[in-house]
Amino acid sequence: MNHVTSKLAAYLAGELSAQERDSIDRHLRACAACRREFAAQSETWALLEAVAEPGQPGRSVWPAVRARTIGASGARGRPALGWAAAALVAGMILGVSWPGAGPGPAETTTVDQAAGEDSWLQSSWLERDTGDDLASGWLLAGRTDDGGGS
Amino acid sequence: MPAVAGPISDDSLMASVARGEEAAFGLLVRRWEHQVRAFLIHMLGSVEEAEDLTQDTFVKVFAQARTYRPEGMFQSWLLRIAGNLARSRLRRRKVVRWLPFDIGRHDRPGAGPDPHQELEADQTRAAVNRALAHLAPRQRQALVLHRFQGLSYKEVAVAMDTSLPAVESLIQRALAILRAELKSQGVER
Repeated sequence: MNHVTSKLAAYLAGELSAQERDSIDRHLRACAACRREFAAQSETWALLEAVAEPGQPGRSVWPAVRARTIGASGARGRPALGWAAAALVAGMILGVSWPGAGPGPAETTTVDQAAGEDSWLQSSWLERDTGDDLASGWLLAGRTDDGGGS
Repeated sequence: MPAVAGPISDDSLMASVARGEEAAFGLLVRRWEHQVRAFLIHMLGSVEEAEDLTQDTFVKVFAQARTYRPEGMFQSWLLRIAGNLARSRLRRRKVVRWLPFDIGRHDRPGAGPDPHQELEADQTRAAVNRALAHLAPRQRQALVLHRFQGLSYKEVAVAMDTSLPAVESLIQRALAILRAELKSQGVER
């Protein structure tokens, strides 16, 4: 008789095919040694629940991460802005007028510029964010994806 | 027929992150940071270290966004980055393999009216934590990803850049070690 002890963790974890499960079920009915082993492993598996939740959620790391990425690399969300500013200064020096310069609508970010598919992104997102509502995802009309495992 | 609304996929967000879009990156970080933190606490046994490495994980996500392949496996990819950082940190500890820690014992007002039950639960948590500390880093990583993070064996294999049989073996071995440790502490029969 081939014992099934090496498969019991996968069995407990629900990672076996229906055929494999049936085979192990049959073996467990017939083999007292494997039944004892299965009971012991089940107990260990259940005891892990005692430490499943590692504590209260901490503060968001986003401000620190932002500072180390987008914040550290300058206006990553506005790649054209630096060049635009330089061109504007050059134009002023040369006395060339700049269409659209001066008071006007607030500058949009590249997020907003990505029209169409990415129109769901608005520059005011993070200002409105209070935490979980943002983390859980905003609804996007026209999308049918499933959230990618979140 | 009206379009179906749904959450933005991680792959879509990563495409935006690769273009340096802040709002998308902020959403991605906030969506996943608690899971990454919980995984790292289980790996390292230290809340402070876990928080440091949670930051480092997302800094790497940003740096590697352009190499990300949108195959619907973002979670595994993310936890691979976190897992590599955790194992690297553990290697640097050298002498002290695991910090003494007490995962799962946090403020839970009104958790139970019976002090004896509460004491027993505390003792069980302490015993399980001590037993977990005996696992090798890869055994622990596989077990944590599956048992606490809810990844399937296949996802664990992707997250650890290994094969399915290797994951099965790591978890089976981890369970055997835990059982022996818990038995030696008198927690299991």
